[in-house]
Amino acid sequence: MQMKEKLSPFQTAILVYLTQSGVTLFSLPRLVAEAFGTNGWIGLIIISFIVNINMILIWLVYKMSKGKSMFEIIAIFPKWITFSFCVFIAVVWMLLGIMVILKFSMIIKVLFYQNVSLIYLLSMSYILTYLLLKKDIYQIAKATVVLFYFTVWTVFLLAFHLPEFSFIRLTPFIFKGDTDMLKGGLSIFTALLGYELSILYVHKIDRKPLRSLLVGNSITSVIYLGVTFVSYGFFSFEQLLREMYPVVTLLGYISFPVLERVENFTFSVFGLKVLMTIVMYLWGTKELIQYQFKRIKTNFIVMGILIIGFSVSFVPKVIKDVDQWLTYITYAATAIAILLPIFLLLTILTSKILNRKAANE
Amino acid sequence: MRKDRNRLLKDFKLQKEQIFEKPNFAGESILQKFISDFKISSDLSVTEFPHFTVKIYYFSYLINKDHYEQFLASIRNITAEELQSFLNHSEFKVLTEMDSVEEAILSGSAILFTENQAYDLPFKEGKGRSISPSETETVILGAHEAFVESVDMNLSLIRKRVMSSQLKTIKLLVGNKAKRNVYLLYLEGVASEKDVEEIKNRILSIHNDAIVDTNMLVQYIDEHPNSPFPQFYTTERPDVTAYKLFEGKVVGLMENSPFAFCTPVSFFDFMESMDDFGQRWIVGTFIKVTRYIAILVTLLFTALYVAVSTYHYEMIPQALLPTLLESRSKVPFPPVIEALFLEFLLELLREAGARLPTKVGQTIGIVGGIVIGQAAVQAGITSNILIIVVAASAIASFVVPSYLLSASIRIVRFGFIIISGFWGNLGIIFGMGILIIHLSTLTNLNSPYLLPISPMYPKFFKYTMIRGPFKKKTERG
Amino acid sequence: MNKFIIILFVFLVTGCAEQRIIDDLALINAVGYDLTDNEKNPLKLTVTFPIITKDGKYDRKTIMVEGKTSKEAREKVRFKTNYKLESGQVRVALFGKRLAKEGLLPNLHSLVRDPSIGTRLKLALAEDEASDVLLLQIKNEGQNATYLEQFLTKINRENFRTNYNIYQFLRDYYDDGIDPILPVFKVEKNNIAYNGIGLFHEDKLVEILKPSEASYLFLFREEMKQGVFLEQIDVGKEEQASIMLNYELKNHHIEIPSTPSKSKKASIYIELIGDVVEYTGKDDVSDPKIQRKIEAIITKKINQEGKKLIMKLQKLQVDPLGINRYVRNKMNYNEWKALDQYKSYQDMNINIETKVIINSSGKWK
Repeated sequence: MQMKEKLSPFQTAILVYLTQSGVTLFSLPRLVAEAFGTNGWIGLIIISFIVNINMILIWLVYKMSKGKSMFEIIAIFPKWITFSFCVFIAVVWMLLGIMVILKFSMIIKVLFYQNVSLIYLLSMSYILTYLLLKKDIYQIAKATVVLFYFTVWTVFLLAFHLPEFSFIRLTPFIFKGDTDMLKGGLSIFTALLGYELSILYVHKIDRKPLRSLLVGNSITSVIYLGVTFVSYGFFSFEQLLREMYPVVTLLGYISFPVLERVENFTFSVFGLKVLMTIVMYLWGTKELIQYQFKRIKTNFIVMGILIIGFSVSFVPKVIKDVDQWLTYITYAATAIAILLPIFLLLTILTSKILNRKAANE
Repeated sequence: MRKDRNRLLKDFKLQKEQIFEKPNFAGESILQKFISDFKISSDLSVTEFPHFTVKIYYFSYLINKDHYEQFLASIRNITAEELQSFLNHSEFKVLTEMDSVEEAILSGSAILFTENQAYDLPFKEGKGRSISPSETETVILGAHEAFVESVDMNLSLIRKRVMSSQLKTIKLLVGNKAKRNVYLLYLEGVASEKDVEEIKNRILSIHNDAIVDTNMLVQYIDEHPNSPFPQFYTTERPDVTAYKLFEGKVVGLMENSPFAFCTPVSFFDFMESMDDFGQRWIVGTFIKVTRYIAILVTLLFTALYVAVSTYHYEMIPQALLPTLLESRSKVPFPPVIEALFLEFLLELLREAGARLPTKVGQTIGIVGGIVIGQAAVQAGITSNILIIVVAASAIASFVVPSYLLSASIRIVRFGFIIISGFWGNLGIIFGMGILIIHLSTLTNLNSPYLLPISPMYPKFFKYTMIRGPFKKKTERG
Repeated sequence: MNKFIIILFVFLVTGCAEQRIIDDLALINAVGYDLTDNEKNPLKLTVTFPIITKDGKYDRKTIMVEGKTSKEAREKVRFKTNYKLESGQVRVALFGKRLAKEGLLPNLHSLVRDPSIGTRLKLALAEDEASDVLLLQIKNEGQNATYLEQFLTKINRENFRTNYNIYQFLRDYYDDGIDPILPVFKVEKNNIAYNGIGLFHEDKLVEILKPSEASYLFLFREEMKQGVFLEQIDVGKEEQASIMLNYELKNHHIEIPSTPSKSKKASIYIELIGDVVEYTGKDDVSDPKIQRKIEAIITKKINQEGKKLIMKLQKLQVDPLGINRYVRNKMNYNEWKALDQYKSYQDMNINIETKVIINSSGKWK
């Protein structure tokens, strides 16, 4: 019964979207402005396109291997290779997940809960993470869909900023100003990371895997693009460069007749989105570790990951440290995202050729 | 161990001192067994005949006296020789097993014991409450009949609405000693056979005698006993039951319970009322959406008040600030205590109102309204605004059509108030996260609790989330 | 495993965010910044916040301190009240004229840096001292902050679309093609009154426009959609009449002819459609001929006054109309960066082209 369950295309799309959309969103317009300069939102489209190509690679892996999972593909290697391979990816993903929690908790502490110890904020996220992580991917996907509905309305809040939006502020200059295309571009690419986890569940998708992956990425891209575009017309360019978290400022500008300054509420709602990023990364870690240590109970692995994560969370002291860590980890994660599917593709191809040779002989 | 042996010994002694005289005919085995089973039952009546060796045992209050008298009159006029042929030609069922004898007599038959056989004389008395309008699920438009305690009557109420040979019923016996009939109903070809099989197995695996109502029964067979949310939909309305049958659900009826349970259901079944279908679809959809808002209000309104007035003062608009400040200024407690106090008082009022007879119940409303509303504010224990907030969320909680769900939501609300008292908005969102994760992993008969939303089936939205327009052709979910 | 969760949960409940229950707070609703002659403590900070008096009335308290910086002064305010000082409800920040001439940016930065202060915080200038405005006790008017906030909202809604909140001020400050403006308030006869518009060169106040001049300024600003035009016009020989139009700005655009020549030209087109509300002349305004005549007179008037105003703006090197943004959008990036914006703005030849259409003469013939 459980084995036959499949991820529906819609669930997959939502899963991809919620994994992608993470803590970077809050500073994304500034990052884009720093990286691409004026009218940097066009750059987002390019990066989203690169992600799409990457997704096609993942889909190719699925297609070429005829629905095998990643573990079945790498099983042809000797044990020690797969072991170090899996452990490396697991560590990167785990650290990424942990740093994302940490960053979010730190931002929330700086902005809204200055006098609260970080331990409390972290344990809240870890409780939620644990509750989801002890379930399998289908259950996670189910929760994801509800969380999606619960958070997606925040996008429509952008309508509140339209009266202040002005096309003149966009300027006719494209990619001008102090730009840092490569490094900045990479940092924006990391904002779209999260789709690479689909390599672990692409074979569990019910039908139309490629389309659902691409739709997921499109949702993320459209939302990122919308936020960035509105920011470019809402803020003046120099102001945008100086806003630490432009999206928080955007949220703070909203005012309802009965409630205003809802930014801390909506920011917490965004927390649930960030939660899914964390859960999916730690889920990836869990899957990898589980593959290596089949005898250990899943629950112990989950606990282990969370306890390690909790302890690692206290190593970086301030947001600056976390940013530093995040930079390196996301570089590693980016490398994994691009190289892993290529590597798997090569593996499939060579094993096919070898098989054919063996059959011919 | 010792206790058991003592009891066995006592039983044995009792057997020796039989209250019935020992019969001396060939049907002995079954009669004897019967007599030993029902040994201390002073309410068991027996009719004996002078001219033939026939005994009729029955519970006088379970059978219909008139029918029984008629039967006696007809049997008195025949001779002992004719008796056997009379019985053979009659429609009376021959009972061979002791179990069936027991069941028959307990369900209102008289049992006729001849020399070697037992006959079932079904003179069941149809006494009981007559059909009356539903108390817990009132509707404005639609049928007013509600189920009664008699399962036969309930079955007839359903049969009348589902006139089809496809309607199948399975009779199950629940319990170890005190057996109790449970009927499973489903529409063949519409309901899933797997579901039927599953629910049948679950009911049969119950070994508990103390189940007296459907609402109890479903708690023995649900998958998440520790969840505050109801998982089986129970209703006392035959029209709802019939509707659920057409939707392909399995319905269960229990003897002596005026409630039917339906499965597999989702959260959204609890949000439905028969009234929605009577209304125009636009109106029905509006009402349904209102209910979802009501749930949010119930869950979050008081919590939001606590969060805002304890932590997030910046969220209060300028125009509202003076009112809020003035009403809070006299209150000596932090908002969370104030809110919990008032919410608790309101729960007490509600519970008192539910337990008391209707006439006294009204005074409770007056006392509660005046004491809480006026006096508490003047004494400076609570603030005006909070009273409005609490009242609004209480009213909203009664909008939920299902009593069970309404109660669950009110409980969950307390969790939200407490956590918002500690963590403000962050706490509310944290609670919301837990609630969402919990709800989305709940299942009812292996069917997800939030079915058309997650996993997503947009096709069914118009049947569950909203009340979509009717189509001429029938579709089944 | 569930026990673990429960333990964590209990642990969570033991902790608790810092409580800020509204009735224990001094919710500052307006701050005023002034410069003083005091060498040591050059900044004068005035804060006002609502309090509930013992008999349950809604009242306010105003505290004035001097300090080195705004945050230091704020620390001093803390010692002057029994409530916990919170700035999350600050609605209005007032700046004294002297301080504004020195530049607002340092104070604005400390306001935006504070996460508890919202981006809708409204800014305004005080003709003399900000503290005078905030300390003024107007009978039965309640909170000065609420009064000012409503005033600012009203000004904005009526016809003076100003850069009134901190986000908008900073946005225009950081935009290289436009300069921010702020409304000015002054104390007169125990009342707080609007008294024109302060023009900024970057973050420094350079000039205060009188309300009558300011109303022309708003005619040329794009965000304005409707307003009231009130002016004395010459109708005949030696004959003056007062006219009031309720107008709607139908069309507004600024055009920069893309000529490569050094001296730039710019044209501002506006098109007004108005209803006559008041006319004191002898003519019959419902007569289309007269209407056309009045239209022509008003057009001339606007062109004339507008030109005068724009010359003044050019001389002061302030660009509240954002003409430079249009210049920028006509150039390529390197040209724009090489351009001395204010110099070229000063030399620019700015035309005004107005079209006035009278729609009706009200409900009286």
